[in-house]
Amino acid sequence: MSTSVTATVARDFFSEMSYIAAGSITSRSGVITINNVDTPLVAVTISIYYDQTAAPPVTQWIMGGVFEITTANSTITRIRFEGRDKDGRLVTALEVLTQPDNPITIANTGLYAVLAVATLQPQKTVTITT
Amino acid sequence: MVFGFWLMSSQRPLQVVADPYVTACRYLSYTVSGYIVDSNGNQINFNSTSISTGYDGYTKFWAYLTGILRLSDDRTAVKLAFVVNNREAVSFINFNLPLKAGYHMFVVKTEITGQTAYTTL
Repeated sequence: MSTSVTATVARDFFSEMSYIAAGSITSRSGVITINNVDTPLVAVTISIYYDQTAAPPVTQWIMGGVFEITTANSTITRIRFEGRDKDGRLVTALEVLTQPDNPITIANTGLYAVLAVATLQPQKTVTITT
Repeated sequence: MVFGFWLMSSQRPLQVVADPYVTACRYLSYTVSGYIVDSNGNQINFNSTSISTGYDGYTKFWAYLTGILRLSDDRTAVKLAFVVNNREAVSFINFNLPLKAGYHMFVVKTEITGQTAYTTL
């Protein structure tokens, strides 16, 4: 016969591993596909927000960069951020694609910024079954 | 995982093809240990631990954490934790689990699918 008890999740694997991995990042880069041409993002930032006041702690990967639109009504279809360690190994990455029929269109030329936040919200409880 | 993307204050439906949590977990190599805390506050280390990870080649990653515990007498566990890369990485509190003297094996599976993370024990 099995018995079950409910326990509170105090620590979450992915939150804690993200926190460890973030400490290895020494370089950051980003690319944005504008009118089907890959263009480097400038002033790329990658950081992690770690909230220990929550139980289990909540982590957020926060990534941002700046790009220039030189042609009116340009379309964006892909954005990718990368963080690498001192040896060039990929530590983390965030890449998103627009849906094929729904590219992002920017009407006016100028400088723009993109900010992406990936939030993990760990579950609060788990059932222990013996 | 909840993903937010802002460009000119407008949000768009996007397909995530590289997840920062999954990529970070793939980057790391792991060492693992673990323990329970009994109702008297004693920490009892697992005699043996292991970690096994998997990746679907896309945005899904999972890890199995296994710990084998030997008890010389009956105890009640009130905390269970795995320490990965010298950091308390998976732990559970606020429970009472009676354990008989002898050997016990604990298996935790934790998984992230790109939108949500699950942990089972």
